[in-house]
Amino acid sequence: MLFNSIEFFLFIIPVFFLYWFPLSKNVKLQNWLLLISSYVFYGWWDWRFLFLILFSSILDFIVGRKLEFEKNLRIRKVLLWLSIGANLGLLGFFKYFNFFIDSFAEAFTFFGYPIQIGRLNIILPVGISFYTFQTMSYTLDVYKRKLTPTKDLLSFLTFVSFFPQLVAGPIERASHLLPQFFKRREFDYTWAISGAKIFLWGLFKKVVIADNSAILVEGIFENYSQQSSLSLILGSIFFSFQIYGDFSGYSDMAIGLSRIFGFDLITNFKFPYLSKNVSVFWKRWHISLSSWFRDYLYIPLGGNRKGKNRAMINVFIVFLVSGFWHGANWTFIIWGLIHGIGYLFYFAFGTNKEEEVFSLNPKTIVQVIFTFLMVSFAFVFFRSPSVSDSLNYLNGIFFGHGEAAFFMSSSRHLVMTGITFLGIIILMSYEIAANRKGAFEVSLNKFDLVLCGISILFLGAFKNHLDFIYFQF
Amino acid sequence: MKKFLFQIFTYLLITFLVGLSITGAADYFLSKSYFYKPQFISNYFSSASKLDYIIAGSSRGLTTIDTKEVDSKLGVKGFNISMDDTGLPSQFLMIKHFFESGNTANYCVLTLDVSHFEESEKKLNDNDYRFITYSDRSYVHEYYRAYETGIIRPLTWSKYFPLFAYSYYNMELIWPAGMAALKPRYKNRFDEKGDYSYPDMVFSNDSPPKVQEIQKAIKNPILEEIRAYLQTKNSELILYIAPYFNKSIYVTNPSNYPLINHAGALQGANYFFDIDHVNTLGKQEATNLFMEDFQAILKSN
Repeated sequence: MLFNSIEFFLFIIPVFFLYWFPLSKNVKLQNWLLLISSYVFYGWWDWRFLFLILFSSILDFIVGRKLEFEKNLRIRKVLLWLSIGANLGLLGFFKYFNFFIDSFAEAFTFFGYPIQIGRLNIILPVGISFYTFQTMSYTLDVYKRKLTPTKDLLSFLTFVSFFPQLVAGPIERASHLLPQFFKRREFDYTWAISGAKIFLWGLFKKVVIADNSAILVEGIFENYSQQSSLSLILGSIFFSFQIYGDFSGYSDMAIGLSRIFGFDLITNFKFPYLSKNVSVFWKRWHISLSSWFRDYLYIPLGGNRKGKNRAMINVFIVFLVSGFWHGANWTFIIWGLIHGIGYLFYFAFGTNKEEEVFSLNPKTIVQVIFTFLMVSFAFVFFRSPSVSDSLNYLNGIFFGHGEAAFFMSSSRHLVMTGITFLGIIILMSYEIAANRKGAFEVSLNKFDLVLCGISILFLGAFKNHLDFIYFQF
Repeated sequence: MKKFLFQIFTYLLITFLVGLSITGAADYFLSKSYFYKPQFISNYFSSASKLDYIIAGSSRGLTTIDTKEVDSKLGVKGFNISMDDTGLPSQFLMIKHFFESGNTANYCVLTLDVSHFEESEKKLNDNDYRFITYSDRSYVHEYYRAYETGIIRPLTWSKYFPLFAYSYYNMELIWPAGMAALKPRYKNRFDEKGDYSYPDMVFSNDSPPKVQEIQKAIKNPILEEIRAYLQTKNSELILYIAPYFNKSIYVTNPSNYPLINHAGALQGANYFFDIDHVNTLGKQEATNLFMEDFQAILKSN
């Protein structure tokens, strides 16, 4: 069930009215409603996925309860590793099994010992990377005594499966989201209106920018060898906006929906394409994942406590793991590597200070464009099916002799290109305006809201729209 | 809460009203234009236009016969009502649209694709939205109702509420409507005779030149419906199988439809744009062959 589908609107309207009218005075019943709704929402893809999320939730709930009273360090460690092992085991099996099998076979073939190993026909459960990280963070926080484990199984199950952010984040921390399930939720007009606005903005990013770009990107990447340099450059730029519109659009919709239900989710994107360098970019892009890796990988590895050289190695490890988190393919690892190298450059020379406000001076504009181009360059690896395809694509940009231009191959594609550019201009104008005011999200007045609604209606790509990209991760 | 619901309702209403205005304008400009073939058929011909023949079909019907050439050589008057990316059910819809718009034709040459000999899938075709400006006509509404699937069915409901359809098919309807407003006589990929020609390219084919031979029976029940409908309009159905690249079709014709079978008539890649469509040279040859057989039918009647 996608947020931008008619099924979702038919689903959310009764849930909203039940939640705020008959059940508004009873938190427990509200949580039951959210839990059932979340399981219906998730089971809509495949009901078998429900067993996985239920298993992961109950295991972490039990481990959390045991950790509360257990004093023996050895047993505490066993419990912690049981949770981590089970969650990473699920993730490893469903997401990475075939990748390891293939890489293993390729390595043997490379050294002259070709072997045949059968692949498994595994369906990747939607959003598994998101909820396993969310439940793991709970156990890790309880283990470190940063968080008191909950005794309320219902709230915990609802926290793990909370439908607005279940399948593509933001990856919430138990310390932030879980307590919100214990408190009575009062309907707050201003909060709900801000949620409705940000939901609408997210929908605009998804259906106008991401879904129109997706069709152009698909056409260019599928036949990249025949495309001209300009077409390939546009393809990578469009993909940067496709993935941004898609992922940040989903996050906005998740945050907006949560507000309508009286919850507060963390900000996941802070106008990343206005970043002046890669270091700043990573403080603004997929913040919930970056901060997860900072807290549960970078700091446990030693962070910057063991000197700059060790800190640089730790940063590098984080970027490699982050790349691998995105998918079982060498392309994602190289994508992480490129960002790691870029980040280390600024890390080493101490220029990673974040400037929150975008200023319209030539130096800043050049820096922002340079950072965007570097990010788009790395996204070629992210989008391509293999490393050799990525390299050939990049080769085509610089030395290609292709003459085709998919973006103007038909009047339909030309119109789509125009719509995408128009959407990008609107997006960036609003983001620049918001950023210059020091805000973390765009502000929409009455006129903007109607314009946004009309744009969604008449510029959105409803036919042949694609699923959200990050559902696969 | 009341205030929140009121605000949401107000913005939805304003968006809806603005959307309805845009839809109304788009529908108006499109309905007065020549942009898509259904609108061209309604707007181009003077009322009760009498033709000798029409050619119906999909992209193969659209691109194979040079109607202008047929008219000048045989001294007849015809028009091509074919539309690309359509199956037999939507070709039947186009035939109905032609006649229900007040036109007549003595013969309807239906270009039959091999995938529709026996049956047709019960689903909407890619270009059926082009009839939207006529969704208040019963034959169009009935067609949408019968063939559209899904929860919202924007085309089916377009008779009463066109906003959803114009939103869902915005790329296909809103932008052409804008074009139609600026250039009402612009025709989208067809000429004044309804024909379209692919760019003059030769199909590059590496496969061995072995002709595939296919045995097929013509028994699609829609054909009987088309014949019965045409009889009520005093028109005769002729089935035409246009040339395929490297494919010969041996047809059994249990219902005895008048048939022109040129499936394997053109040998060689130089006649083709791709495996299903002829190029300029192929079009000339196919038209010459068609004229011979069509003339024989005209004489026999």
